[in-house]
Amino acid sequence: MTSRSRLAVLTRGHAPLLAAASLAGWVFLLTLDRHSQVPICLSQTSLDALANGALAIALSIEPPALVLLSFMAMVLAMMSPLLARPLAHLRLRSLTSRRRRAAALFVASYLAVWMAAGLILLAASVTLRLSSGVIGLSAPIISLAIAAAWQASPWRQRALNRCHHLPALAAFGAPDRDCARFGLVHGLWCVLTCAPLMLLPLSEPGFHLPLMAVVAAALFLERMEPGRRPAWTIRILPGRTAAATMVRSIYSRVRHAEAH
Amino acid sequence: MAPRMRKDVWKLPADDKTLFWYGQAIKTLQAKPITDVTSWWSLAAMHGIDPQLWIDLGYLDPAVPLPFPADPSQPGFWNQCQHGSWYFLPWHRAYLGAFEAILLDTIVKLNGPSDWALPYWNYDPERRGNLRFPQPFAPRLLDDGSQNPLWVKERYGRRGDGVITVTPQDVPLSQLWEAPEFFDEPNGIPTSFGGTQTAFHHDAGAGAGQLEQVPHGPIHNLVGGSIRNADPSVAANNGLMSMFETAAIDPIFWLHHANIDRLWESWLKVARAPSDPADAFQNPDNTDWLDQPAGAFAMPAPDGSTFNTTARQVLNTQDPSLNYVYQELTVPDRPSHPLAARLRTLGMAPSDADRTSENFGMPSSKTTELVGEYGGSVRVAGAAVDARVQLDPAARDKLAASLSHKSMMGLGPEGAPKPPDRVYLALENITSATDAGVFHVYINLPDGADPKDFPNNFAGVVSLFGARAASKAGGPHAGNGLAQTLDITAIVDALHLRGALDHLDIKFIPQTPMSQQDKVDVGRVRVYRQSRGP
Repeated sequence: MTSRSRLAVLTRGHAPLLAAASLAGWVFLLTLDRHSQVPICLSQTSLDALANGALAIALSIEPPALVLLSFMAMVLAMMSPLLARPLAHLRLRSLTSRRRRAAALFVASYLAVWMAAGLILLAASVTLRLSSGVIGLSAPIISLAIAAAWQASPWRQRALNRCHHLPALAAFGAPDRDCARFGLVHGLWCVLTCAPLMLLPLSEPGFHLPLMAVVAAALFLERMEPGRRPAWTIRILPGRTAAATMVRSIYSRVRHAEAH
Repeated sequence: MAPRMRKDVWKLPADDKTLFWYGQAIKTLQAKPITDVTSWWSLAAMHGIDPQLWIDLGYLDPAVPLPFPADPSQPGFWNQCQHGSWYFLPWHRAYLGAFEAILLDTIVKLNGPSDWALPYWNYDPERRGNLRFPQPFAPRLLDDGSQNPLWVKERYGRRGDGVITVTPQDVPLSQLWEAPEFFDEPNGIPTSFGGTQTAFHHDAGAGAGQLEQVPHGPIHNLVGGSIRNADPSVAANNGLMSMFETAAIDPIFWLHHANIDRLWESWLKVARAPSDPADAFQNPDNTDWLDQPAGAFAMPAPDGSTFNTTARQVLNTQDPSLNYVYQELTVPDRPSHPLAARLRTLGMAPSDADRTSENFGMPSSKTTELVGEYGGSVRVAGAAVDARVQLDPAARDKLAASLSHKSMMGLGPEGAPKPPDRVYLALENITSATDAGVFHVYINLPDGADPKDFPNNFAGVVSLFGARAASKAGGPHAGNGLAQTLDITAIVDALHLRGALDHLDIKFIPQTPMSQQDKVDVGRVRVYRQSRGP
């Protein structure tokens, strides 16, 4: 038996670019976080202003462009690592001369779906935080409950299964349309799968980045697991099977290396 | 104790009792309830079970409470079979080993031979007589009027009439010896022998290796087949061998898989040539394959207990836990520089071909590039269907350049001698409403020609074994369907020499009845070139 380089997998195709995009997202958010609060989690002052109907004040404290930019950074940071498989699928099904264009079209339409979803998520997190006092539960608890219920449902599993769908793509004819549609459809299922979990970091400004990191890691691990039949489940912790597998895999490698 | 010998079913002497004892053990194990892990029924359910289907077919008593979860989409001790994966071969070896140990224990208790071993059905395409269905499995009744334990009703064969025929084109083996690597990394097109690196998962997917694709798949479907009747349930119309959920109920299943296991052993004996990759014709040393961190194979022991095993533990068939050898391996004669013959075919003078092929170093990388595709999906039904694959001029020129003497001799822009590209026809997103189907694929067959007269245009065979589950959009496989890769290097070489490498006319010829209602679709038909470099 001979070895194949495992490092090669990490340096092939789009992997380095995706890692860089994710890193850029994190660095951007960390830099913002050091200076002020992450704008996507509106400050209490803005929230109070919004509650009083003073939209103009809220917009002056958190400029919409910065809010959207920080949401895009959040998506890049969390979602880039999940795109390795669809991009690899796309790469091998595009003519060499069109590979970059195909990837760009896919990513652009995928991001467009997320940005549209961002507006809804933002509105949802603001509503949650404004109404938490009325309900008597803190916003993170409510968002955790929403995420847990969604995790347990067959609809979420169906959406997650569809994230593994690799469509037939045209290399000739209308390849641009197919790439853009792949990005849109993939983005849509991705939003349906992940968005409720994204509410969690959005609803807790104090722990936005740590919660984001935890959710990102869980979603990344979960995407490595094979699909399951959609059904109600109590196993709602995303990525737990892949995490256990990864630990055993590392242990097995270390033991194997020691034996040699 | 000396290893037991798994014998070729066609070479059993007239007075041999191997199949007699197989039948006796089947009768004993079938008399046990499904709640016993050593029963025929639990052993078959480990491969796959759909309780309602089993009840409908009369193989399960609805009153018996099942000891294990039996939902095909929730693998556990039952519904464990591995397909479309690099675990296909080791899982089935462990499964056959556990099965054989239980049968041996049963046979010894019946005062049978202590060296009994599972025979194999050697459907070698070079030996025409071997392609017959083994006769002892065919009659319903034995000479004494009793039921033949080797018989099952649901074997519908090629045309659905119960006649099982296999042709050399259904079970080609040459492609196995042209696949030097055991596994493919994820996201590639599957060209390896043993399958794509995947998680531990039940059901087929797009990651079947060459051996799983052919001859494994076609034999399942050509024995099982399906009948056409008014029952709206596709599963109820399929033969047992045509579905994961029922295949292992049929006693021939085990002889079929013994042969698949034997072909794996044969592949490991193929001599590595200097131009092959470093890990050619060897099992992976990847611990994710050897130790299966995603879950070990759970197997039953003759005493009714269960144990876990891994690929690492089944690599040596002569280990006391398995303790078998094959009567004969099928290892092709391979020249020390196998590329020399191809270079001669590509028009190089014999002396140049020999010298050039010796100059090819060991490749450490490979690149795969799309060369052309058919611009839509193909519905395979009726007598035959055609699809024209257009080639991209730039990619085709690169392919043609790699087949030129200049490139192979190192006189091209890259400098170093470069072996000619291999070319593959990738059939992807193969979805279907049925599992029972086989079709042949030809390239540039003249109009109205009888395919039999054009063996050099034969690209390969495709089976739909596992396609139904892989076609459900919201299901675990996301509706991606099956993928199959046919090595068409020799066909493309010939076209290149004739200067006819402009497009490829693909003809799909159903070998089993396929109607529009079966919804057999090949989502994409593509041509790839694969080059290896230092």
